[in-house]
Amino acid sequence: MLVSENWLREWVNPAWDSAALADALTMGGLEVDNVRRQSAAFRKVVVGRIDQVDRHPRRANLRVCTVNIGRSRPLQVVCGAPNATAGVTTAVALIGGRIKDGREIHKARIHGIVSSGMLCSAAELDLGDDASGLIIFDAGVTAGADIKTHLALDDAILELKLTPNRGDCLSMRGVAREVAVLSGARLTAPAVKAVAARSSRRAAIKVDDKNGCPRYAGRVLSGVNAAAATPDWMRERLRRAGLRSIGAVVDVTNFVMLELGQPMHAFDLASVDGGIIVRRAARGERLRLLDGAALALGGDMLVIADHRRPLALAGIMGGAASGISEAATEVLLESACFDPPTVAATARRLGLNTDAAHRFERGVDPALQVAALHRASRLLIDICGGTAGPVVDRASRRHLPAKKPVLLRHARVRRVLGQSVASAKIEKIIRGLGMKTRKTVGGLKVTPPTWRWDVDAEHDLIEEVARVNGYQRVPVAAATTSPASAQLSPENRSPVARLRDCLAARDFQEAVTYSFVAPQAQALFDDARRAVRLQNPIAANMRDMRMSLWPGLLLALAHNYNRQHRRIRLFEIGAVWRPGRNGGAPREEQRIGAVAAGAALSRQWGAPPRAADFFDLKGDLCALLSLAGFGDGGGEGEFQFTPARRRGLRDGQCARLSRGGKNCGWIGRLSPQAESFFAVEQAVFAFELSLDAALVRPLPVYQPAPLYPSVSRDLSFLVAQAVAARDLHRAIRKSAGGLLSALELFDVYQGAQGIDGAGKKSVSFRLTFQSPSRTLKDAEVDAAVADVLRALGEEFSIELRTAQPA
Amino acid sequence: MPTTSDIRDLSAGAQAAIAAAADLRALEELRVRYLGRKGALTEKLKSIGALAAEERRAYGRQLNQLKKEIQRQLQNRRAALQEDERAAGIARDAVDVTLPGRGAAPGGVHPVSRTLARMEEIFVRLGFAVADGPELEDDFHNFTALNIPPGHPARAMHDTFYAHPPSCGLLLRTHTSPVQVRYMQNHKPPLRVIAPGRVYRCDSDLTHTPMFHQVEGLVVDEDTSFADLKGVLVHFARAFFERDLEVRFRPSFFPFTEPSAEVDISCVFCRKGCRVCGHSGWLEVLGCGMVHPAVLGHVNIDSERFLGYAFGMGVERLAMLRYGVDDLRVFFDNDLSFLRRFR
Repeated sequence: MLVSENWLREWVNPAWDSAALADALTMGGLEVDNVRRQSAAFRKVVVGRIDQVDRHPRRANLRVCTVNIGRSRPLQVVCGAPNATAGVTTAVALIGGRIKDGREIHKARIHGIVSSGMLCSAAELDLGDDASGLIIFDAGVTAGADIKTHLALDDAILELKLTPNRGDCLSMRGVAREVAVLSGARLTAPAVKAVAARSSRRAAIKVDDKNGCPRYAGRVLSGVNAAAATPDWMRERLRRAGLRSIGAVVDVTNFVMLELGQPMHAFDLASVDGGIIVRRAARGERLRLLDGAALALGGDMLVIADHRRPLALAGIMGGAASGISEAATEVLLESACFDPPTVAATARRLGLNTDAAHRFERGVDPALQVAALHRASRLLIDICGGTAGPVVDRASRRHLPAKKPVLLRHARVRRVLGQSVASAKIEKIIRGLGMKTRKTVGGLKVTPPTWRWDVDAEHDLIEEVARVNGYQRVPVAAATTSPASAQLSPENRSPVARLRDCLAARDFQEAVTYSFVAPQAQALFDDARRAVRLQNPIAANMRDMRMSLWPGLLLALAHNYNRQHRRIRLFEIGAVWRPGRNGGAPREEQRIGAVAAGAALSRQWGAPPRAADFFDLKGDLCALLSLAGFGDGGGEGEFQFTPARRRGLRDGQCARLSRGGKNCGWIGRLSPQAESFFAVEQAVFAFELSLDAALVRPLPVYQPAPLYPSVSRDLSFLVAQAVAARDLHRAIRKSAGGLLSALELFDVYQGAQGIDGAGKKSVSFRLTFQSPSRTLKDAEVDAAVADVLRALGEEFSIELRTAQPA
Repeated sequence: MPTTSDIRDLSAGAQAAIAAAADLRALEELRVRYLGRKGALTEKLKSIGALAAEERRAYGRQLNQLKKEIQRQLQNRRAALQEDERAAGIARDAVDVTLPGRGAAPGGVHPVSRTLARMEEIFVRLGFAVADGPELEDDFHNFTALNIPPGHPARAMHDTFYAHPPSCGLLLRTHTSPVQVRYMQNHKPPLRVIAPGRVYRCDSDLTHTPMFHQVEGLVVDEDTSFADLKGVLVHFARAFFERDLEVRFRPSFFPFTEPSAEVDISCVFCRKGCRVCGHSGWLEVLGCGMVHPAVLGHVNIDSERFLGYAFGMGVERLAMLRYGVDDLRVFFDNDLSFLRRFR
């Protein structure tokens, strides 16, 4: 909300400058976003009265004006504005003056006629956005007066960022009340005097929906000149609050809203058929709004109707058909109290955040309606003439919000705030806020005022005490710790940071990608039709919740590839959403995933360049899994890599990862379709697994360091290419006996067609034997090796090449 | 018959030859030539048997002296040559120590993770447990249990993503407060917990991304107050920025706390007024307050007996202030040239 400081000071005038005032409001909970000095966008601009207008001898669209600026000799000014007519009072920029765009005014000859100044529009002076004609001032203004003085432009605008609970501050009255409480200065509210009825004209008013409209007050003003000009002072105040002047009647209703906080509406009584009915709309009823939009109404929307059709959306916007035109002579003023959720729901649904809706949503003082009617009547009669009819006030006490007394205990204040506030101080603050109090044992019985929709319980009052007294007065207690909740997470799960550090240490960069992805990218890897879809995505390519970390990581990989990076290694830890079983709720699952493209090592002098392959990424994955026990005691332990096929990964370079027999992840090279989708012209490898599978870890088990030397044998043999390394491992372990302490595969060689074109590969293992209790004899080891060779021969028909001590 | 001049010649010849020996092999040849079984000196020693006893003693003494001298010279020369060889070997093995090292350099963790880790550590040291919960939430936990019933104007402040179909009632959490609700449902007070994680708002422009991270905290105890809340947050702000910052608490509004406050820290970039702090000298960093009794009521905690405080802060916001990042969106571009700043 925009608050003119001058206007505010008419209500309450603390001994603070603008900055101190803004600071006090901010620290009182009414945040001042900024303070803008009112424009002095121009210089040497005075009020001028056009006494005479002559046609320009050579240009039909120009006029030669004789302008009285309060000096003995009038100015001659050439002007093209259509409303430059004799008798109007407007703004004249004098020679040597300056207007908003910085232009300086010089004496000029315009098509042969001397022009000694410039007549200005509102836009040229930054006094509005109207550039269609001259700014026109009140008729009685003294010619020659400085515009800055006339419009009281020595002002500051405070821009308030109000929280939604403080609807009561959406008016000058409300802000002034706050300033009075915070500063202790006296509130000098301009008196609102009742305007007695001088005619009997009235409109029939019937409220059908008292929940939606607990109170509706109306009054008819007859003999109104709706074409009267809004006075300069009112137009200026509207402008400084960010509202445009529309016409005297509407301007008055807007002014009362700004001043008192009561949104009002004016109907042209001539267009009201029968009388006013406040009711819910019938489904499919139509209404054209003042802004021209045609609406099909929903059944839950509250409308102001006559006996034939809806006239206005209650508390939001009037209809075009019953709006005030300059020809209107009988005006029905509406001043009502609408139910906040009703207005909020309709405004939200229609996307109409009008000034009225903004206030009704937050709650308008239910005791304000009649006073606002009187205030508006007074202003309207003063500006437009006319006579007022009787006030019709339809209020349902049962539906109006009731203010019950609330108990405020001093001890509770102390307990909640951790601060002692003297009971006299508490009472002073509470009473200063317009609340009625009665002393009780240990506290106060407080009745909040009608305008405080947000205060109806003890904690609301405690906040008021803390706020007005100043949060800065609440002590800062020493930060303490609590051993009860300072518990370590269980040791059988790695801290997630450990995984993050492991991959980072292996030259992966962590990424954070959006949880929503493009359906097309998702479809490369999963059945994207089963993804969780957003009703209101931010963009079409962020529509679906990810089912895998890969689409996002690959998008990031492609982003970097397009920025000339060639070696890209990224990982992410985060949630994915999998379809629920049997159509149930989607399952949210934490995963860790990585993608890699480019060389195995960054280009360097000390290692030959080599493109990364499946085994580079598998090495990274296994390093990660080693935190979870992979490789403990040799072999894969609970983990298993099984050749498999999967959407998005390339056949023959794809493995399913399982732990304890349960599938938990995938690793492989992207399928050709996936690689080309992301337009990365390099092999891309990826893995992903459930975070749980990577986190669960066994506790270390102590084993004494060996006392006796080990004996190793290296075996090299030929075996069919199709035999998997894991099967050889298993066979050796099974046949080597209990003394085998370590088994390493240290060489694999196979040509394009296999060795000798016979479909074979050469494989080398080192077997290490060790006993915890004695030094082994060669003969024992030889016997164990013989057993191994026999077993391998029987199962895989291996062809031994060498068997030698290592 | 050997003579003194013979001995002198032998001595001079040996000395010159040893000094001239170029390597250990040549030196060994000299040893053999003089001291070997058929060496010059050995031959002379053999020949003294033919001399008279008197002469033999004198002459023998001279020859033995010469032998010791040659042995000494050989020894010295050998040591010198060995030293030369070692030095030459070391020179041969010298490397250009300014060449880069071999192998892979490390990658790094994302600045959001780094920031989260620091935030968590501060709170964990203050005895907070760390909890998590679903990101795809239901309306009750995200709104209603937090005192934001349907139609509440505060819902408009949360631009919420809703899952399809509308009947599923699921949404992307707009804050991590639902984690606190779930924590209160499953634990008995006293409670002391933070909930870090991803949150979502349907908003995307220069200063908003549709996804970001929050850390929210909750304390519920019989004896805790707004003063304690201030203590913890002042400590946090100073620990996080490693500076003796000014911290100010401003009244504000959140449906789930009352009294509520927004917390500003004195600008970390300027002394008084810069672009980042909007020339105010203050940076808004978090929101907080005393837990609203209705929130405790929703999870059956007696709000007469227990009090609570809660706070919430944006991780990216703090990361931006900490590392001088001026564009929120770069956190999710995942550009390597940006990420590599964070190891």
